[in-house]
Amino acid sequence: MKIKQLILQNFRPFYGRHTLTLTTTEDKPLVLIKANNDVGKTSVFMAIYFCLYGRLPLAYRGTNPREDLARHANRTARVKGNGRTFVKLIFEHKGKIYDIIRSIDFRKAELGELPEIESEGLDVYEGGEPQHFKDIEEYNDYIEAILPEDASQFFLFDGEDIQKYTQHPPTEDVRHAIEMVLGIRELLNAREDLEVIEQELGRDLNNFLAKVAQRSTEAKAVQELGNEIDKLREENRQLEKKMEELQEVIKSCDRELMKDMAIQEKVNERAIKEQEKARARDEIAAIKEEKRDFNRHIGVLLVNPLLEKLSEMGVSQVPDWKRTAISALLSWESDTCICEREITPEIRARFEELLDKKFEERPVEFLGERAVQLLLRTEGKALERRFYELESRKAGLETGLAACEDEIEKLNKEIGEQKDLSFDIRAKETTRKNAADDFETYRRKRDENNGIITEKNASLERMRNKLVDEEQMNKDIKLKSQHLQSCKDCKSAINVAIESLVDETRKEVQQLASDIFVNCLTNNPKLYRGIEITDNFELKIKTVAGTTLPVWIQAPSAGQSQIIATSFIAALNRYTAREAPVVIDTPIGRLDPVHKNNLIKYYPKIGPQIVILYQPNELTDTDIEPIGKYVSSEWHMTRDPANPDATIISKE
Amino acid sequence: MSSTTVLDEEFMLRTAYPEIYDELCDVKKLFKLRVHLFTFALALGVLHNLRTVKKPKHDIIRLSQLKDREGEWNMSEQRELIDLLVRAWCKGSDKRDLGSQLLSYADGGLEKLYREYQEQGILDLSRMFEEAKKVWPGRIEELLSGRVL
Repeated sequence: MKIKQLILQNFRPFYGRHTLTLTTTEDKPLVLIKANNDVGKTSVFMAIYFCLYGRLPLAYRGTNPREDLARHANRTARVKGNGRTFVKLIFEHKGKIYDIIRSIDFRKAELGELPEIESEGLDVYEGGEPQHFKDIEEYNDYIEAILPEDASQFFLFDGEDIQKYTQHPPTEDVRHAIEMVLGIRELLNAREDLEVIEQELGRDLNNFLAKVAQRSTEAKAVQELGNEIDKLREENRQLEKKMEELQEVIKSCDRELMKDMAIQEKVNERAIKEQEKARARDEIAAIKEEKRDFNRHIGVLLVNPLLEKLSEMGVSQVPDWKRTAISALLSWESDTCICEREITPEIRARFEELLDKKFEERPVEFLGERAVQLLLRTEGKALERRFYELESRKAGLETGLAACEDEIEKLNKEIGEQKDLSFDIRAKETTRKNAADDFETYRRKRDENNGIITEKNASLERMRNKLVDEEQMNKDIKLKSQHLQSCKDCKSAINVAIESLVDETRKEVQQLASDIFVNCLTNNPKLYRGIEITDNFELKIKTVAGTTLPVWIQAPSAGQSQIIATSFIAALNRYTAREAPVVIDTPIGRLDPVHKNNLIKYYPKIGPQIVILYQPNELTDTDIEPIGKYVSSEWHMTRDPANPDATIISKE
Repeated sequence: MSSTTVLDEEFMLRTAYPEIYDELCDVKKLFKLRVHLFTFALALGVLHNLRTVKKPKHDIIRLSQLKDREGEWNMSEQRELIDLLVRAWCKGSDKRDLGSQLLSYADGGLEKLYREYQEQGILDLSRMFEEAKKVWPGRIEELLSGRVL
């Protein structure tokens, strides 16, 4: 980094706009800025720092950052009205031109009062392109990559303030700054970051392990649940096996029952037919008996046509009514008439006489009367009807019987000698019912188990998913463990690197500082052998006599401390790989003429760009003359005669 | 009932074919009483004018026994029929001869009956009645024309 230009507007004593061109060349690395006390040297120093880091160097910071900002507003400008303060720093770094502009918009303030800050701005251009930062942290990282703030104290410093590097022991911020410049800080920061990461990893790991411990119970529960499901499934397999066996039993029973029932149906049918046959036989037997009884009339029936013919011929002999009445009385088996009069033998003889015609005399009439009597007795027509009725019934029954016998014969051909299977059927039906009942019991149990399995499976799925997560967590644990180990390994490596680097750099810087101190800056090179830098970056003076004592014991004077500190800073600047300008405010301070002379001569060797802000009493023209050939430009800052609160910058 | 019968009261109804009576009455049980078969056979013999030459030697029943009794043994009908048929178709005045003619007709009818029975395996009465309806007019004509009476 090399500063090209510093533009100030209404910044502290600089009322209006002022430009300091600080460009240097390789053979002329010096820029001299001369000003009396309280004119603005430190403000230039502050402006560069403020522009880079947005705040003042530690030594100049107040308690209130807003007040520090308000103080940047030029007193004349803020009394005149609302205005803007800005600092623009243009520098070159690694071949690119950077423009950093800090601005503060302030409101008008009464004389002697700080103005109210309306807004503050930051604009950054890299190679002419505006840079955008999402927040101040991002900008800080950006500028840290160019010139870390901690390291800046070795590049932007007040000559009277560098004695702190000789204090015993060095303060924490000094030690950090030294480590930063030497590149150790980065390693230390890396180690600190690793420690943070290590803590985070350890914490995560512990959390994971705690969860694993917790979930090992769940894993056991999952296993137990899985076992329960397996057990239920095994039980269901057994149940289904039994159900299959029962189904076979049921099917077998059904087949046999179907077969038996078909046979039984025919057996029953045959039994019915046998019954019908028996009944028909009985009825036939009965009707035969009836016919047999009827056959007493069969002779009369056969001669019925004869009787009818004879009766037709015989009725003419006696009036019909009389014949009928007498015949009825004579055929009456009682001895009493319907009029209750006794039919005596005399009366009967008389009746018979009336009817009893002599056969020899009138045979036709005689036979006709006898035929009438027979017909009356037997009711001939009724007999004929009765006969045919019996014949018809008998024929019907015989037909039925024959049909029955045909059916029975047919059934016998089909089922042979098969007997009643009712008992077997009932036994098989019982077997089937028992099998069906058992089947239903098993089926219900299986369905119940399936329901439980479904529920348990859902639980298992959820728990397994958790365990899958756990597996992922185990992977994470493994990864975290690996990371943790890697972290520890890195930290160990960094520790080794730090130890090695600290030792090396310390020795190198120590050698450089010793050279600068003994060969260039001390006023008594014969007394001192060099500077020793301890592990803790404490500076000690090694004397020719062989003593090595802390600076504050060996050289308690302020001038001597400043020279030793300067030697140390110069050594750091030389050592560091960073290209940065060195801006020194009040370079000489309380140095004696010899030290002062040595220091002036040494300035061109400090770095590629050295800006020296001095007051006329520190460096006279005579003092400067030996380094005149190394000066690129000289600037003179004076108070504006017209405005005691304004500084004028002029180039000499 | 007229007591004036053409035959003696003690006339014995007989047959030359007791085995037929045994078979049809006792074995086949077609008739309850032998006299029932006798009167039927007589009617059949008269109808077809069939008379056997065989001597009837086996008793069936006396005429005097043919009278009404309690229950089913009501045999007046048989006697009246026998009397009517004897008077109509048996010739002569000798009672014994009349009786012989009677028995001859009865066994003649029995022979036809049994022959048909054997031929057909059954006693086809229906057919016999139908046949009788056809034959009787001629026989009645014969009777009334004086050839019988």
